[in-house]
Amino acid sequence: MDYGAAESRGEEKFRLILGQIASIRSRLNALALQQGLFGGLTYILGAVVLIVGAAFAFSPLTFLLLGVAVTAAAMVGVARTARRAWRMRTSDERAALIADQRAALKGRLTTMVDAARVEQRSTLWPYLIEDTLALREEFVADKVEPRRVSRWLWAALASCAVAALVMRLAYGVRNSRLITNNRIASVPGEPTADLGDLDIRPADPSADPGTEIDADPATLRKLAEKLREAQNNTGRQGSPTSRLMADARDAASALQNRLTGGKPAEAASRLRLTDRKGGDAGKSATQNQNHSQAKGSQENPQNPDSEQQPDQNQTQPNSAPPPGTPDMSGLAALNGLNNDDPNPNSTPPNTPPESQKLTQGGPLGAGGSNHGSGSDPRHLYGEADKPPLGNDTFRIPVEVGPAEDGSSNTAPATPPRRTTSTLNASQAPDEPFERASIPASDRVTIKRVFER
Amino acid sequence: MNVTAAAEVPSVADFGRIFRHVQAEIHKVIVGHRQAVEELLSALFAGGHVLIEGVPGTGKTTLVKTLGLALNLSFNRIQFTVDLMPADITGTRVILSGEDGRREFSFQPGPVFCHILLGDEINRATPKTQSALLECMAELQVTVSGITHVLKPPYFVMATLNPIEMEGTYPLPEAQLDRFLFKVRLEYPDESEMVRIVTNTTGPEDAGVEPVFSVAEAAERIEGLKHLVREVMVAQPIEHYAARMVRATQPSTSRYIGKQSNGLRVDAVDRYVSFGASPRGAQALIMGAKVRALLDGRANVAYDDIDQVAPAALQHRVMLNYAAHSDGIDASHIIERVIQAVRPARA
Repeated sequence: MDYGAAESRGEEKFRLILGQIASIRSRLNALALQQGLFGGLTYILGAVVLIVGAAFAFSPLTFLLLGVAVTAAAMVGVARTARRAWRMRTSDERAALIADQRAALKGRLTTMVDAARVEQRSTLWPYLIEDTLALREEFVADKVEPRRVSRWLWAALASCAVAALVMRLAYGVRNSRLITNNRIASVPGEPTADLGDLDIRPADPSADPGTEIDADPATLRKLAEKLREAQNNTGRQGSPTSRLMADARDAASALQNRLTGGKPAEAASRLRLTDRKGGDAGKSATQNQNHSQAKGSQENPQNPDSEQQPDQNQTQPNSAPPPGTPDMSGLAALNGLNNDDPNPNSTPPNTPPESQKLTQGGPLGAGGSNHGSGSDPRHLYGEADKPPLGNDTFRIPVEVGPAEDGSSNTAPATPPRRTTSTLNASQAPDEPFERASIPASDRVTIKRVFER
Repeated sequence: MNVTAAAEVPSVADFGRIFRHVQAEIHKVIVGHRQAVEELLSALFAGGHVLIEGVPGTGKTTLVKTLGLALNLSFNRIQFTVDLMPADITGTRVILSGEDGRREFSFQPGPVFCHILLGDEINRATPKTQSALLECMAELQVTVSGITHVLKPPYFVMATLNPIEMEGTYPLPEAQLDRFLFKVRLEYPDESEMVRIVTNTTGPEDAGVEPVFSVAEAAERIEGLKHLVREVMVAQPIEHYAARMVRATQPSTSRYIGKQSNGLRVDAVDRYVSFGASPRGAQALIMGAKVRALLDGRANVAYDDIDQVAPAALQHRVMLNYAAHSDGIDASHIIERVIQAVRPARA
């Protein structure tokens, strides 16, 4: 018997078996690679879809939190998929083990691959080769691993389809919003200024849009300072953590606007005036003042290019406000007064001295200005004051109306437009009623009533 | 019918054929107990010894005697009692008179000098006598008065235990239990088996057991088959699997072993086992699995072979604590849990 030839034939058969094991290994490794790629792509696309969807559906803070969570989850998913794919990579030993299990070869291939490294082979080695070769049809690559493409491909394709759909929808909504934003002034932010004890009262007790507020120049100057300070400090007060949160929220809002085509970066702020100390005028109402033309981007820290506009271009006479935008000339003048003249006692350039005398006239003058309410009995007997309207007073037009992003779901999406109509021949402009003189017979009665 | 010529090297197919032949001859006498007979023959060809446990009348002694007849090997039986001394089993030096009238010491071999030894109710002998078997079983030699006497291979010890008569017995120490490759349980026969036992043993004729080998070639043939068993190949992952299984029988809190490197922890082991299997347990697993692989026509060991021999190879090596006895947990239950815990670690 030619042992050399037999050994050679045995080695040839052994290489044949090893070749089949190598093909199994290649297929398993290809599947592992596909799983890593497609799985990672699936997680990334899923995260993008969720983030874009969240940009449309949630507020900036929710969007920020959700975005961070989704991004973290996607990163974890990608890392886990990569790790799983890395662990799925297959050596000859592992491929033999898998083939043994799937083809029910009872460890034949594992033993062959393991024994191939041993120089001193068992006397049963030829038997093992023949025994295994007789079963070679059982462990061809197509039988051990029929799939050539990973199942993760379908997940990746599905995520691609969903992402394409979402992106298409988002693109359409974004374009429509951008067009809308070009037509309608953006709803400003809402900084809050504490009026403190400023003596500010509405010229007319009406709460309709366009209510004018009268005050003495010093009060108006303080008011302008408070407004400017409130706008500058919007979201920037408090602890470093809160400032950091505000910055993060701004960044999230910017990203959200970029994704959704939301309110533009030039959006002005809406001021809400409050009097936490209980002043009469401060408690009056939430007064929305849209002075986007005057304040420019001072209220908007996202537009650094226009930071100097409030000081340099207060009135912007050439920029007509859009329909529905209140007249801001009064506040513009107010801002101009405060910004140009830091001395509160100096005379404003466009304010007559008589106006100061009228408005700084002490308790009597103050009582005259709010005579319509009739709440102060000390001034009931005085001479009825002329309402401080006209060129001698400062005016603050206040737009009062429901906010676009108000808390109520029933609030309109945009501020109501201001409608004006010309008066007919039988109509006359509104004028304050003049105070009538009190009959002498009634003075005692009225005085007793109000002193009670 | 004798099988093949002595000089012929046995093949895998020969092994299976001889094994089945011996099995069939034994079952001419022994009714049922198929798994016990298979484990008994596996231990024989793996080169180990067997501890047989069963209630009285289940055929322990008959089984061993039938095996000796089937293999045509020399067979001795020792009934262990309390007053049995080591010299009674190993042999002793006696004074004999020569032909010239001179008296001299001569070694008189004990019953251990045979191929197949049946130690009946070994737990009734004193530990001193029990330990006399250790050297025979482990090293196939007997040392008497400083002179070592070698036992002829194959040497196969089968010791029986009676589990219900524990009074006045001396339980085997762990060191001696560890030297038995398998522990075989002979279960109580069911009704049909009992009918066959009665029929076979109460008739006018005894079932004749035909030896598989001739007297001259029996020992050599069996040694050849034992050598073939050792040629069976075991892949490293399967060796690791066996080692992991044996380590898993040790409680994780045991102070006798190092930190469990495989991180495998079996709750039942921690709760009920005081000490697990020794490295001899892993050897028993591999040797028993090799026999099973040959019986399946393979030249390599598979994971399933390890699982199948695990109960017989490990159950007598696991020392249970009091909690196990109080909860009615036996060693086979523990081994089953261990296999379930280790099985996922195959891949």
